Amino acid sequence: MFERLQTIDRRIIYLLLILVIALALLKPIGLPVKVGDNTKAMFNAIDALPPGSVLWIGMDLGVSTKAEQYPMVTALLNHAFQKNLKVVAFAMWTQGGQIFQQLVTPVAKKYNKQEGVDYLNIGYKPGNEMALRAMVSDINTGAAGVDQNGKPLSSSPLGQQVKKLTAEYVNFIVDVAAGDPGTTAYLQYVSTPEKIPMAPAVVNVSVPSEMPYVQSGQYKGMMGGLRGAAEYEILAKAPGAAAAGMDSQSLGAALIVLFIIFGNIGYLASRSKK
Amino acid sequence: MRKELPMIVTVVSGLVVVFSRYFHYGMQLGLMDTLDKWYLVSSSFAILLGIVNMVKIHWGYIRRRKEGWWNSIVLLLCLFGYGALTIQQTVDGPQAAWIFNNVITPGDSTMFALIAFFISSAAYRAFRVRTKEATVLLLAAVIVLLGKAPIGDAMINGWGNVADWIMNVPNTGGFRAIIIGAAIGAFATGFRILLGLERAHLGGTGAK
Amino acid sequence: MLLAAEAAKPYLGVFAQGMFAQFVLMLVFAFIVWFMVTRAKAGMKIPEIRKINGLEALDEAIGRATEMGRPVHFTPGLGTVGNAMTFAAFGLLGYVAKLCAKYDTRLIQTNADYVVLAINEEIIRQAYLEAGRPDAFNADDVQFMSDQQFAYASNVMNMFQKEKPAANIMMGAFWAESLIFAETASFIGAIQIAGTASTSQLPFFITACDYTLIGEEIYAASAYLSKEPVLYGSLVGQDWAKIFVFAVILVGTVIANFQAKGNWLTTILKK
Repeated sequence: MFERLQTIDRRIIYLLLILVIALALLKPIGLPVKVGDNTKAMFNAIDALPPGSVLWIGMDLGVSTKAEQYPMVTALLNHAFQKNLKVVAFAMWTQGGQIFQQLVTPVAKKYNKQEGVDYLNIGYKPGNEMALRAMVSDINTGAAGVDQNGKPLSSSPLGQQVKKLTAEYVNFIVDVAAGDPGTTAYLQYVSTPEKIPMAPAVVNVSVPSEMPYVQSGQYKGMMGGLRGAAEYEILAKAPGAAAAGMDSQSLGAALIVLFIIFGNIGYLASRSKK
Repeated sequence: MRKELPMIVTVVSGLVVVFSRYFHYGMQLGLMDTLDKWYLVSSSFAILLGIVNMVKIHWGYIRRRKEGWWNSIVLLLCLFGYGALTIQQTVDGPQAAWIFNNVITPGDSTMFALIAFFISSAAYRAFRVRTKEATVLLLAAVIVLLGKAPIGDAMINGWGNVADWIMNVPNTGGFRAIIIGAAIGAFATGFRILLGLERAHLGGTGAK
Repeated sequence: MLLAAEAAKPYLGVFAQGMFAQFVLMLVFAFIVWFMVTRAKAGMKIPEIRKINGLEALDEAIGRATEMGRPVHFTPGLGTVGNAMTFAAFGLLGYVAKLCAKYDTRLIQTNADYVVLAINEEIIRQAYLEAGRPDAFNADDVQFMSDQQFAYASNVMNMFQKEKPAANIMMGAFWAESLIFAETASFIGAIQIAGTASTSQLPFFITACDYTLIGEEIYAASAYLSKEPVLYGSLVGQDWAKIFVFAVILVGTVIANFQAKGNWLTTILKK
């Protein structure tokens, strides 16, 4: 009888997963979220920036990672605007510029921040790492002179202020990355040669591959996955979608572990029968 | 010359990059900046190439009435329709933004969300105590899965610390080794291409 | 705002600041690889490569597809032509295409990049020609799906359901779509051989596929399968370069225990 536990129809697993995740979203349990060291380090590094410093946000994500990474950007913007930092966003991914525009508008309204003065959306420019490298020499060249909406960069105070992607004009980089091109490009072409401190905000699957750089000190912390976003929201005192999703993540993980245990019970039962 | 010319261009470009990156005078000459600008321009043209290629392939499917050819009509209509719309009103225009937010975004997010279901069925199928190594894999997976979610610490205080240790020590050590090995492998591949020893991309079936 | 930096002076009169050590390391690696390639070309003895199960299983996978009368699927992933992993896939594709031509097994090759599509079409055409089966080559089976990640993934999923390949070979640069391919192929009962140096996707391949080539094993594929001396020598050179890196790490670890910052090794590596 127990042998059948190792051949449960996957549709049952999927159905139960949907139910458990939906239930946790509708009726949250409120499990406490402990803030990890990597998120804390990143938060502290940005918190230490004096008002007026320029925070460069790399928007290297697509709408597919919306659930995991939109809360990261929102938490970051809340923190940046609380600290009166200037924010410049640039995307090597085609949808990054639009996503930033969508996310910054409500947060900017909340803190009375003006586009062109307190934040600037350079948007997406083709060329991947080449566009990024071009920004190091001259932002106008890399950006073809215009922002996400086609307005000349020279027409805004922030566009005139941030001339190059160097330590002289940019104080910290956060790359919100869902894949390549992303953090490696910033580390290789900007952060290391230009000595601008940076931290990645990456999807959960990328966390293990970013860890060596965090441990070596090349990154000043890291925001990893939905958990990282939730931790940052707590630190920035701006709870949002990430914190709300933590219960779903917990119950979903517990369900998967339960099925793994069932599968092994079934496997051991069939082995002992033989 | 069909194979020799691309090789010559490859070798010369590679040497220019090496000269521009490592030598002071190469940096001063700004050759990398020039190459970057050329690449920016050519990658913009590559988008055009992609569109032409896509139209050619799908027009071929429509003409030959290949199975599912009506999907190609829908694809071409969406390609040119959405393209024209965004040119007319920019990507933030009302209709373009509506399509982006209500069609493209949910579609892409849904595909990404499928991964959660697939990993659950893959984990259920694969994590069995068949061998010693598989058992270690299973235990690590269970500890990290629960430790990285708040439920781990809620069940047993300190579970998250064990999960963090697994991620920070053995996992990161292993990944570091893989990253170094892969980087050296990529270097050797690039070196073979520069020396003209790697010719698979020129239509051969391997090296010289 | 920070003060503007002064113009950097060349190191040793020639090198850009902070690039000397990197340049020397590049020369060391290049020399090691070149040395082994030269030995191989001269027919001198070079170390053997250990068995790589995933590559040994290729013949089995294609044979299985032939017996079942179902096609073989090959994808080089989402990488562009500038990605080293895609180059590794080119080498392997030639071998797979030749075997498929020899056994008269249908090969469906899907692509997410139009430039890679053009190269792969040429590789497969050439392979069929070399196998003496140019008539069997079908350009329609070399398909460009989409350069958008999930549009590509859903197209491939649809193709798996329709064509039901018996063997799924995934070799190259992959991202989130990797598990979508692997699980869908598993649902249809395909034998799967995957290989990537995309570290974030390796766990998915290892979990879902029958055989996985981890990291630089994919760069070994061309050499391993062709037994071409030059590629073989390059592969051995890679391994010696890794031993050199390991030696530097070991020395650095020992030194760092006595002097973590400002020791002679870190000073040299920063030059």
